[in-house]
Amino acid sequence: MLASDVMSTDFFILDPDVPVYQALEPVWEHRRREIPVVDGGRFVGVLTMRELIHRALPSYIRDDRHFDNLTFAPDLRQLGDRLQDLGKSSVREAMSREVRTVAPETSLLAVATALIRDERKETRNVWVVDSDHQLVGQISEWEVLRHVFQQLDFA
Amino acid sequence: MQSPAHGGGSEAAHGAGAALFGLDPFWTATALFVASYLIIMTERVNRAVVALLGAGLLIVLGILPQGTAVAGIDFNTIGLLTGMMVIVAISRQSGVFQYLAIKAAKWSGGRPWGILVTLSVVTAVLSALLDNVTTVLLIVPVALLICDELEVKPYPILIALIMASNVGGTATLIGDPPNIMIGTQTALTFNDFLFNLGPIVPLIFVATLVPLYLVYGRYMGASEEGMARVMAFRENDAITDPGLLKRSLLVIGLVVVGFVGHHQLGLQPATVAMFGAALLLLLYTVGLSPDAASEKVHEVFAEVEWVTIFFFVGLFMLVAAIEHVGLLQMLADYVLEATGGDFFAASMAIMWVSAVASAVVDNIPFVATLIPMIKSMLPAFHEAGLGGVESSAIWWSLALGACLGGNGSLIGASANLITAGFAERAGHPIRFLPFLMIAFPLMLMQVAIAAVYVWLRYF
Repeated sequence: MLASDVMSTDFFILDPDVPVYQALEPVWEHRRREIPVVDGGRFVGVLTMRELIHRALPSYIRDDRHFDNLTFAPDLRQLGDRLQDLGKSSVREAMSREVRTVAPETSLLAVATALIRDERKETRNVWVVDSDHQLVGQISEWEVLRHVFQQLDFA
Repeated sequence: MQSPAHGGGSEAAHGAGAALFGLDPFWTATALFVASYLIIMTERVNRAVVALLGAGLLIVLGILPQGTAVAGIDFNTIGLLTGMMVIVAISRQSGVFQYLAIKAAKWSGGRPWGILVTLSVVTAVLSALLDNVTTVLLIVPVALLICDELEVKPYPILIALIMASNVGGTATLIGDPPNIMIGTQTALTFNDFLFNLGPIVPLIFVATLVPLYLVYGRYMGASEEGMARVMAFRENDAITDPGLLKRSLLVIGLVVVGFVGHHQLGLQPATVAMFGAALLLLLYTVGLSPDAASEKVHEVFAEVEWVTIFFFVGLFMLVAAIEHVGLLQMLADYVLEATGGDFFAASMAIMWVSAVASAVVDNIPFVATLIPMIKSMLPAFHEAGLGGVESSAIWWSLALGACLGGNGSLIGASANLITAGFAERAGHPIRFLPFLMIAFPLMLMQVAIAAVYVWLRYF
């Protein structure tokens, strides 16, 4: 099985020069975690919900691996302020550029491996890009498992 | 000038190795030593790498015999540092340090100047018991969070925390790397440090707060809502693992008792720390499956700052090399001559030179070099007659100068740089020159107090 067999072609595309809050409006109802950003037909990055929250946290909390329990602290007004700033910034400023891409003919083994590696990376999905840097598909754990399970006989 | 290559300790250097490439051992060792220190100062190459490369070259060139190099590594310093790092790596998972910082902030009623004082006290006390870098790594994030809740600029509090960590670390044998090295390489005990340095440290701490109050404190204010948010912190929720907390406190208690009694027990502080670390590792993993326990032990050891440990290893070998070729003896003779053999003048010179040098460069290599040098000067002072003065006065001068000197500039101590790194990432950078303008005069004041103390108490 290849990347092109399992990939989903049903995804939103964002324009990099639109403000984040505006770009997300049509997306909210669809509960997407990661949305690709395409500039003049070229795949340039991914806007992720996780990274927006990550960037809204103060650096001393975000970078400190011993600061993972914050149940002792009251709410921080800055969190809302910073999310508002992020919402006003352009998609290009807020997106992640470090994305995992594979070619359509990549094996499922390689796709599955790429999916579970580097849990701390900003984006989790694998993006299928053809030889002209055109985005052709999106693969998450969901696509991989659904395709494989549908072919297996559990009866 | 005497010819150092023919001095007492250098016969071995004339062996087969020294003939290699026909290099003069004295000048080669000196050049490599100075080059290593200069490269360490530029911070362009990792300091542990530089120290190990320099030491390796000296051994390969046949200038420093391997046996002498290994004998030069002070395993008491290494063991004490490693043991304490392991103990902190485990105990901090209980959340106890965040608990202490929040508790302290709430004692002040949430007022900014009060928070500055109470957090500084906690930092100073923790620095006296733990490594300074560890202490600021634990306290600074909580301080930044408190400042954000208060909606005040963290700058004055961070400066106070830097000062508190360096001043507090001065008080004990285990508080600061210079003290660890002095303590493990002389016959001075934990209690000697506590009784000789302990009394002056609180005075220096309070004296430091006065100018900080005049410059920053009286202008510090926060809104009622901000103070209420600080008071709304629930410190008990910071304790994530009460069971681990109890076990950690038990072991830390035993280790402190071990330090206080190490001399009577005939134990080195390193033994106490490593034994405590092993005991806490056992208590931490007891009851887990062998696989899970191994993984936890592995994670804890991975948290030891190996760069620091190997930096010490390389550094001790470099110092062993210049001792071996006679450079240290030569420097010691020079200092003796310059001070006319006067013990008080030598002590004061060492304190002030250490303070200024520690503000400019890392105090660890500086002190590592000075310790064997002072050791070789002591017999001459004894010969000249100390007039009833304890010879340990010179060690207290070195400790006070080197530890307090770290306050003098942003690059004076690792704790300063770590705090500045946090501040920078949080969007409140601490710049070199503005820090220097306040820190250098404060450091001079601290050393002046220390100098008066040493003079009154020992001379």
